[in-house]
Amino acid sequence: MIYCPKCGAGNQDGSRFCAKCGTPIPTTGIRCPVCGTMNPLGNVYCDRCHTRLVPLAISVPEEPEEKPHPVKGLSLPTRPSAGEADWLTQLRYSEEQPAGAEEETETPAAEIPDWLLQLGLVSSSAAKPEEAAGISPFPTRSPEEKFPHGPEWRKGEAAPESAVGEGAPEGIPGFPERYPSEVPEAPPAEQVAPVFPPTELPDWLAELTGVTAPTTPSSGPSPFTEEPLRPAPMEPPPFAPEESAPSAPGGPSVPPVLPEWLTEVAPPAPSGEPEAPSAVPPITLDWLGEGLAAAPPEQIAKTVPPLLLEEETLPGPAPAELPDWLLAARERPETAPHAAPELGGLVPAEIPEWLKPLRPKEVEEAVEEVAESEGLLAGLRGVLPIGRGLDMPTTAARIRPAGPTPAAVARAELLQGLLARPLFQPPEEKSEAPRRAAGWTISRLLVGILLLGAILAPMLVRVPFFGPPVGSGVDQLYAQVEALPPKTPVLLAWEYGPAEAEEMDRVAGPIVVHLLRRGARVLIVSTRPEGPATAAALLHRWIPDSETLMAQVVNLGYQPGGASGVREILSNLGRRTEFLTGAPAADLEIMQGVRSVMDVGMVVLLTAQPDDLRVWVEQVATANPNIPVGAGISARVEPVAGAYLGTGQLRGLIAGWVGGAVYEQRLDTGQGRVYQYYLTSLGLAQLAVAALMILGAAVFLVGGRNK
Amino acid sequence: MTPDLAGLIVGTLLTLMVLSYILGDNPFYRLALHILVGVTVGYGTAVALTMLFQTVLPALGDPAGRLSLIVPVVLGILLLFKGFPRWASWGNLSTALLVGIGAAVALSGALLGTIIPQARAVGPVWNWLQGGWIGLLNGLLMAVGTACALLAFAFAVPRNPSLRRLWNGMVGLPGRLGRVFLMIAFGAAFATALTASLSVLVGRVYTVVEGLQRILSIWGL
Repeated sequence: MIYCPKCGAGNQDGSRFCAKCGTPIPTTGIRCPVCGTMNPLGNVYCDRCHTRLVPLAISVPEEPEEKPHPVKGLSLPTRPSAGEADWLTQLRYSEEQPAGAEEETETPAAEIPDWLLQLGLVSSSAAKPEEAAGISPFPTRSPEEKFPHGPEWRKGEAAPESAVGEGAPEGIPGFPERYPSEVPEAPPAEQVAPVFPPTELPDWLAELTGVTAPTTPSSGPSPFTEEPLRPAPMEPPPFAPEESAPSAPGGPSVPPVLPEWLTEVAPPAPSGEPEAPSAVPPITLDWLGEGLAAAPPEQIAKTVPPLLLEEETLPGPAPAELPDWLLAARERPETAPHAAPELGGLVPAEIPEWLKPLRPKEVEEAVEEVAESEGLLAGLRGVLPIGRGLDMPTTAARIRPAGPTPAAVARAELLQGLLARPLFQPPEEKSEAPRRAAGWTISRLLVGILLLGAILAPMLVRVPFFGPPVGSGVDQLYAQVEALPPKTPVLLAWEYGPAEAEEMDRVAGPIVVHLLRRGARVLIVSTRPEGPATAAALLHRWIPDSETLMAQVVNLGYQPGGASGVREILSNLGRRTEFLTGAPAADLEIMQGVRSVMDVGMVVLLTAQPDDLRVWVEQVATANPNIPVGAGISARVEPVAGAYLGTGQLRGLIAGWVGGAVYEQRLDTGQGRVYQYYLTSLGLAQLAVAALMILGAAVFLVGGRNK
Repeated sequence: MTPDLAGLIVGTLLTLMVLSYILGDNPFYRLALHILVGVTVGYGTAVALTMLFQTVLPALGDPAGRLSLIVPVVLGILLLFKGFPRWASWGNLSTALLVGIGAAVALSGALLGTIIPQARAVGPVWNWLQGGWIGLLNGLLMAVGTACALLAFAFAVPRNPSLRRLWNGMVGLPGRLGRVFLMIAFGAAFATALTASLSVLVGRVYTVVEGLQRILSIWGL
């Protein structure tokens, strides 16, 4: 399964384009060991899971002997042969177990030599340099545990065996328990017997290397089976010749001389002489090529890998020129036996690009690698980087919180004040009313005495200040009543109560007496509850003759409803009942021929409120505009009534005591002297009030403005 | 003691109790005030019940009048539900009927009884001349006073600065003049109201004097 680097969709192996988004899938690149994503060459981190793809450094274990790795020794690829022993076959197969070996590259075999392909496979599957050095650049847990969402092919993959248990730091659970059986404990270095005793090396190899190649293992069980393998030495990568020593084309055409470290792993040369029977099959030199010795130097340069060529042609690079990791690998004599690779038809070729990023870096760079210094991963190098989302600048400037704005402070204070306020304000104890100053009471008392003296003065002394009263509209009303024919129904709207009776009785009395004198039938109605009773009281005082009263006056009572009540009265006079007896008005003789306002000869309004006057005038004008309307009103209603008097809606008007006094003079009911007293008292009281108002205004204007 | 004399004595005492307020708030004044309110409400209730028993109930006994009273009685009963918040909506129909009829009657009355007659009374300018210079002055005062009084209640101002200046020029001075007319009108209303109040006071004082004379005469003084 190949995952698209753009959309992450899974594609079948060998796909060149993503089946989902069509993005070209890089066939040559670096496969992430964690998620399996193919990454372009040059990527340091995986595009998908951000796993570091290129190890930072390769460090040589300082004390490899003290901590031998249980990794089975293997360095160069071998070609299986029919005569190979079972233990060796198992060993080789076990080295090829790491998954992904066959998927490491999709480079066609034609472009890469077989030996290099195998070398790459083996190198990728065998113990890696960093693993051998005890560094675990990648997670050491099994793929199922660490990457449950990884590709399926990785879920069944076994955990890498390379020095997991050894390289894992203490404190990480699972490591000792997970691989105890798989990783046998390595014996001490001094107890490991040499695999190939120098005396057993073939002669040709002994001449080249100075040691004797083992031809036959010593009697007894095989060291590979009885003794645990030594840690695998560092396998020389294919690019090692480029870094270790420059190529030397045109070198002498002498038989190639294998370096010492290579002779250790090289199979025994076919000497043709029968060797002693042994359980270990003889190691062939087929991989070196049969005609290598006789080939010209140019051909050798083309066919022989640079590694071998350089090692053979150069007088021998000094050990100091090789990298440390390579030297360390060379110094390990105890290597597992290898089958010699077959070098038939090899041509020198450059290292493919996909392999170059895998090249380990210099040791100096590894020194710069920062190891974990604390926590459970203390001392561990090459740990996975923290996700990009958590990357934060280490030197970020600390943001100092700004102070609250004045508006925020004001709001906070307001809120605090509201919260501090009790939900329910306890009732304050009633404190004694502030005592008013004695001057205030005295002043009020003086005002009262002044008014009382002005009112009672006419009773005590004669006051010649006021002449005969003059009232507008009185004569018109008098004339209107005089013009009424006898027994004419007159509707009398009694719209005042006891509170206004002191004034209104002096207004209504003369009008009622005049109407009765004229023989009119007086129909009393009211829209105020106290109106009928007030009318009855006035009639009782002003008309002592009960027979006349019963013959000409009928009290039709109270009608609620305001304007609607007035309209009801005007429309249905005949359907009303008498106030005192409750008798139907239609049954009364005085109500004969009277059903509505249309049957009434005149309407007289007796009211002390402006609204009552307006309502009555309006409704009468609406019901019967031609009916004459007169009014006896309080003094306070005079401004309003004057407007209706000017328009002719009121045919006559008596306003207050003045108007009543004038009407009484015209009518001469015997109440003239009382009216004179009243008017004189009223005049004096008005003068007193006017004097007090002027005095108060003067005091206010002079110095009391600020008080 | 006749009822008139008893009424005169009680009226005199109540009047003195009310007039005691000139010395400040006191229990006598409060007692008289409570008596006045209580009697007024009681009397109004009695009058209403009297009307109910004299007008409505006898009509229910008449088969002819019963039909005419069915709708008013039902509406009246529904109106009683206004006293209970849970069923107050039942009285909405009666309330709507009362308010609607009252508004219609008042509006028609105001239109036909006040607005049209008053507008007609102002009449054209030549009618003012019929009263001579006084009539003309009266007409001008009425016209100018009415217009200025109306402009005195113009509180809106245009947003446009130029229109605002124009508005202030046209409305500002007439508005101030209208306030003068309003003050004169209020002064006149206050004077008439004061006159009515003084009339009541004078009448009460004479009543008290008369009552005291009667009381003293009874005691032989």
